[in-house]
Amino acid sequence: MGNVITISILAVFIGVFIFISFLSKRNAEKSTNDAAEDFVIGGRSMGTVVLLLSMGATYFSTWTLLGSFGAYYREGVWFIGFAVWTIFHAVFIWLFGARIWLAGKRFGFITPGQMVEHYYESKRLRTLVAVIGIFALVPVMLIQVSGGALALDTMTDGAVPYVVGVVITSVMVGVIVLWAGFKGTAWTDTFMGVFFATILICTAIYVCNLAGGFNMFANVAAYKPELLVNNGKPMKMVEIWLGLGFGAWVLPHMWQKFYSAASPEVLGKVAVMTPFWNSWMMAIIPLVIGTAAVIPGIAPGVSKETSDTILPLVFAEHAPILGAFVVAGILAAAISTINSQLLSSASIVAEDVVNSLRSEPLSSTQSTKVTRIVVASLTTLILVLALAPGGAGLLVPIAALGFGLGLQLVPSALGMLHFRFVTEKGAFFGLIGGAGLMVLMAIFKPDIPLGPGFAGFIFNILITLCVSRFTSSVSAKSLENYHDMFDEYMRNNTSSDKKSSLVTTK
Amino acid sequence: MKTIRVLIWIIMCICLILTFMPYLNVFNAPVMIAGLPMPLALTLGCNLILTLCVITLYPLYFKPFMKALKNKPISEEKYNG
Repeated sequence: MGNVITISILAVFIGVFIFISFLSKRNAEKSTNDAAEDFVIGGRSMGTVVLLLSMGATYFSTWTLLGSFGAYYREGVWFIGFAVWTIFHAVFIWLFGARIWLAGKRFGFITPGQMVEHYYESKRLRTLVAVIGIFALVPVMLIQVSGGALALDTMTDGAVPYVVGVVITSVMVGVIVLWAGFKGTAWTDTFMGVFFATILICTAIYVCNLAGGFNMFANVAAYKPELLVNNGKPMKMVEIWLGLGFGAWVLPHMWQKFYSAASPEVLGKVAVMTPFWNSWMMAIIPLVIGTAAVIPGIAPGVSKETSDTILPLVFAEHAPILGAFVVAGILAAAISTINSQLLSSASIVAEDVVNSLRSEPLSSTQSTKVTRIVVASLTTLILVLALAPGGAGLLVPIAALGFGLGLQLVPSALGMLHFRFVTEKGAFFGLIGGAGLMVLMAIFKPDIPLGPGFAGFIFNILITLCVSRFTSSVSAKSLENYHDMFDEYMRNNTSSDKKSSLVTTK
Repeated sequence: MKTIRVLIWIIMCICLILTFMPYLNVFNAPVMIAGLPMPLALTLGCNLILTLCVITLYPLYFKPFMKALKNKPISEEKYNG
């Protein structure tokens, strides 16, 4: 009976998805803009609510609903540092997102690689950024699919096995993206964000009450007092800060969200609301549920090994009839992240790899067609990888690999957005060195206090600085097109009563 | 406005540094403050201040940016690459 309810709710949920995708497709068809721009970044027309919820739902994923609960269960208050850096996402919207938006608006970019080539005048760097971007997204996409399927398997006691869950998630993602493009992903993200946020808030209130309300942490102390003091490991937290913090803007699918904003006003309002969504809700609610789970009776059967399934376990014990909503919420979280990543990866392949290899650029319609083909191919690849041994498992380390690779893109991005002294050769060899070291460390696992992502990042910065010191700067035209523009609009505008250069130049 | 901007950045840096203290075993005693363990209370307090700082980004940075764009709209050039 329980499984019948679960499957029925999932069917309704999938139906709602398809309906929203249909509405967004119909809306997109009315647009008269450039086809690729519409398909990949929603025609630069996203408003505040859709962009906020879409960015939140994309960034917070299966990892939030599964992995972060487990991290708090295993590490206690040590993991709260994560909530601090989700506040900084808002700061990053100003420091990086607004500049990305401005350059994208001026030159009509739809992928990060286009901006890289235009600024550094380097095809090789564009290709390298594209390849690293895709490799950074694949493990994160994989955990969404495997995490959703794992939860489905647990919640239904195997009635909906892992394999079926993987197929449902992959097919849903493929259909939404192929059918409705960016607007479809943004609108479904908005629905899914509201859906799983509601589940999180209701669950946190229920669990907090069950765990003793204001005495919750005192009750936790009675069972595992060690969770309530920070257990050190500062370098590990720095790595999480850098990976998850910078990953919020430098990974290609997040970068393209900035391009999609309708105006700087939208970006500003999204920045103001980001702390409430990203930190106070998505990062702190898992703290309540994850740490409360150590109290007997909250999540029976939980252990370090099964800590990534705390949420399904809580519902299985206290509200099995509502468990189907959690499963749907987990699927929502997975799909809302992977759809943006999939569309982003496909557009990178079409624009930055296929298009840049051709002597004659693809037309906008051809580019959209190639993007759709790549979406279908990548969906199949993810499906195969998720079914391969090792596709499931503890989620955080796998995601960290993806975010670590994304981190390697930061120095070259900073060159475009803030630091004039970064040269093409500096950015190129820094990226190769950082990503190369990271891969070597991930394979050979040397016994040093730095993780692969952080070590690669430091190495990358050092190479970028050294090589940039001895090689020729980017062209004066690039400096004028980017840094002078940023200075004019964003740096020299301190006093609102204005003697800003842009007014005086007129 | 420049002074307020600098002040906001200083406050944000101080809060960020404070939140890192428990990782260095400072402000990390096993005592409760208002029902919260000390390192958690410190981090959440700083989080609250950081949230307020972030809210000021809109009038301090985004509004002048919007005004600058309104005064001089950007000239769009299509990139064919």
